[in-house]
Amino acid sequence: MFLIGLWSPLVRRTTPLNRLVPTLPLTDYPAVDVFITCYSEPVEMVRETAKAALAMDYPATKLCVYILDDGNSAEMRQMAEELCLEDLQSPIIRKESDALNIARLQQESQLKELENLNLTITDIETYLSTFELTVKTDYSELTPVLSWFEQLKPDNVPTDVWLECQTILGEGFDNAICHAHKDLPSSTPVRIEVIILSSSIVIKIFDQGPWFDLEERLQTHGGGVEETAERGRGVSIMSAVADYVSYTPTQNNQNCLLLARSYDSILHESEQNIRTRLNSLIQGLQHLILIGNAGKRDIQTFFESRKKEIEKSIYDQQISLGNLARCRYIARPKPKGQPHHAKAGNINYAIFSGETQGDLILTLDADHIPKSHFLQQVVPYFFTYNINLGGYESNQLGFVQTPQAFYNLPPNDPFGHEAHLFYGPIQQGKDGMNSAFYTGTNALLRREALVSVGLQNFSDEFAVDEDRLEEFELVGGVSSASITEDMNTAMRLHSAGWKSAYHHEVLAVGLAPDDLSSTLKQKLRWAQGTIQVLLRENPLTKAGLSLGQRLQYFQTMYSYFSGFFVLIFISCPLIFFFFDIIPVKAYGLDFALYFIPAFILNRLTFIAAGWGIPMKELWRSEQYAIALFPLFIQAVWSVFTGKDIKFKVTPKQRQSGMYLHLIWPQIVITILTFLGIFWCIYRFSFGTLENPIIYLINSGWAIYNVVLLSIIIRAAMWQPQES
Amino acid sequence: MQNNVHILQPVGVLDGNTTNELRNQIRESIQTGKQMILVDLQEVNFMNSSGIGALVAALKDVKKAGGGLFLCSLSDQVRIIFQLTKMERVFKPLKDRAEFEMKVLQLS
Repeated sequence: MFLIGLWSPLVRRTTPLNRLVPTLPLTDYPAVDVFITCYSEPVEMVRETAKAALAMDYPATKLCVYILDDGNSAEMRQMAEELCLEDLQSPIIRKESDALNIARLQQESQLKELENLNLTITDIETYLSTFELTVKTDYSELTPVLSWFEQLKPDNVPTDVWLECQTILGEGFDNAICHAHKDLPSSTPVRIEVIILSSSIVIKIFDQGPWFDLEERLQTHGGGVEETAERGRGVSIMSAVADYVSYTPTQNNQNCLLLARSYDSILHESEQNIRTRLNSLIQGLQHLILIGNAGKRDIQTFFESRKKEIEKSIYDQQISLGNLARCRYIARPKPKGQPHHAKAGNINYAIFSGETQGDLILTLDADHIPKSHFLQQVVPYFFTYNINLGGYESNQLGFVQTPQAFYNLPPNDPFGHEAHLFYGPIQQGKDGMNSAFYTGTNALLRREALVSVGLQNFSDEFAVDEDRLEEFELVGGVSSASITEDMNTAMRLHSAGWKSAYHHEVLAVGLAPDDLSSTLKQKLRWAQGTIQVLLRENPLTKAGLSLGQRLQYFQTMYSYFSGFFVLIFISCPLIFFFFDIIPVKAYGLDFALYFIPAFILNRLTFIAAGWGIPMKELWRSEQYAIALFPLFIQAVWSVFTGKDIKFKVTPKQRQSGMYLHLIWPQIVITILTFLGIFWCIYRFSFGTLENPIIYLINSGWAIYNVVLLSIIIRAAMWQPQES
Repeated sequence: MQNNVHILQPVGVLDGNTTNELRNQIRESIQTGKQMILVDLQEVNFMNSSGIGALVAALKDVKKAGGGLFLCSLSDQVRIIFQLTKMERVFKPLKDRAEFEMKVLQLS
């Protein structure tokens, strides 16, 4: 089983975010929220972690640190506020806030300018507004149309040109009334627009009749009509006078007849003339703006929309300025009599409270100090370069786990915290089967993955019990079904099809508990939680997992049942000492033939897997695997008997004292071993012992066991050196 | 002035409608025996192609009855539309009433 778990290790190589080729633009960096979960840890410790998190090498506007204080202590809140202020005064944030402020000021002055300009525009609009006229479908309207057009005439337009324009306006109007609106009621409006530019005149006539292909008509009838014909001259007149004629359908089922005629301006030096020319220029500019902004009917609406854009932008700048406060404090309300779901509830509350919105979430335990290049190393996993799009896009990666390492380990590591075997070959082996474990800290998770999977689980739970709506923000997201929320969450992510990665580089260091009581509590919790997950969401039957993932999860869970086998293994020589019962019938050569190769293979696997890991550490982890057997049995027992299991935060401050009472089973075994050996020596010296060689073998076995167990006794008596 | 001459002087805009009214007036005067019809366009400040169409129809009526239809005193816009529709060749508009009297009445 152990061998399968290590079958296909995956060693990943990465390029840091800022050295990606092709580069990921700074503006496309995902926003990262750092969640520092704490409960009753010392304020100073959390402060160090938060400070290191703020100092990570990442764009200031894309990073936010949240202290999720489940203990809701006033000092923690005060520390967060102080740190926030301190951070706001740091040079990098200063620079950022100055840039934002300048941008905001610039836009505010732009807005002021625009408002001023708008007044002028309003004036001009009223001055120019006479250039539009709407009349009814009636022949008698021709006269008002003509007199309206007449009074528009600027001095610089030659009279004959003006009259030609008047003629084609008349023709166009006639067409609208006689042809387009032939079958429409007389109340149907005809809208006329005249735009006088500095060297051309544009006439637009809007009708609501059926459209026809004027261009085709011009081509077939372009040459005009017979001299004696009574009808059909209109089109040829228009095409003769205008430089450009078109008839096109516009919005709201209208057609627009557009007639454009250029002219050579007659220059008079009169003031009136200059004004008219100026008007034409302004008109031209207005139309230029409108052409570039399709969909805006007039310049007023264009300015309004531009104003709104700038206002929105200023608002955004203000928000980002507010977001520069990068260190925030969240203490969730914990109403009495309702389940709080411990650490999972703490994280989930932060995800759903609406205060956090980063694309990625870095979870850190209160004591885990991140290195400055953490995000640079890990963020690239979440993107894949798409050649077709020519840019990076999000992939299906749900989380990246990095190792846990400790900076306070006493010499010789009596508590066996070093985990180079787990954060190394084991995780790499799991990663090879896309089942890297999330261990609750030092991992970067994709919010989208957490939320979508959490919601699915919530809906499943809601279907069973609608009262769970009350707990929604505490159970969606990170799994709260078990006291080891991390493993269960990862398993749910995997079963929903999200991928995972294990990044083999220490990017954060934390504190390990340095007394036996805390260590045992922590290990008991892990054991209980893991078995809990096995019972509630068995990886062998959970839908959506691949075979490799099923085996990886099951292997980890099953390892906690070893306590029972260890008990038998350890008891055998003792039973033999006192009761002369041989546990293995076929002792001797046959047994050796089976046992020795198996034992050697086991050793070899261990050594091969642990290549590069100090022998001392390997030995330590083996010692603990055996010595903790009472704890594993206790864990299995407590879960199977359904005892209430509470999440207990592992204390990170030393609880001083002797802990021999916690390990009485191990001590009893040790004492029995020595008694047994003395008893045998006693019998041997009186010559009542048959087969002394078997007793010798058993003694060797028993002593090997005691050596394994000795670590826990040493740990129980370990005291920190006085400095 | 000879009594077979009738001078008409429309005012304002000559579009399809008003020119048809004018055409009816011309038809009536032919029926009362007038041969020479002069339309003085001095007071017409705008004419469109429908107006011209109706005027062409009136010309046909007059020709059929063996008479003559003359136009004079074209305003600027009317002259422009006559040029555009090449109607000067059909109607040969006269400068004013004096020219009508000199050229048409004395010749006939």
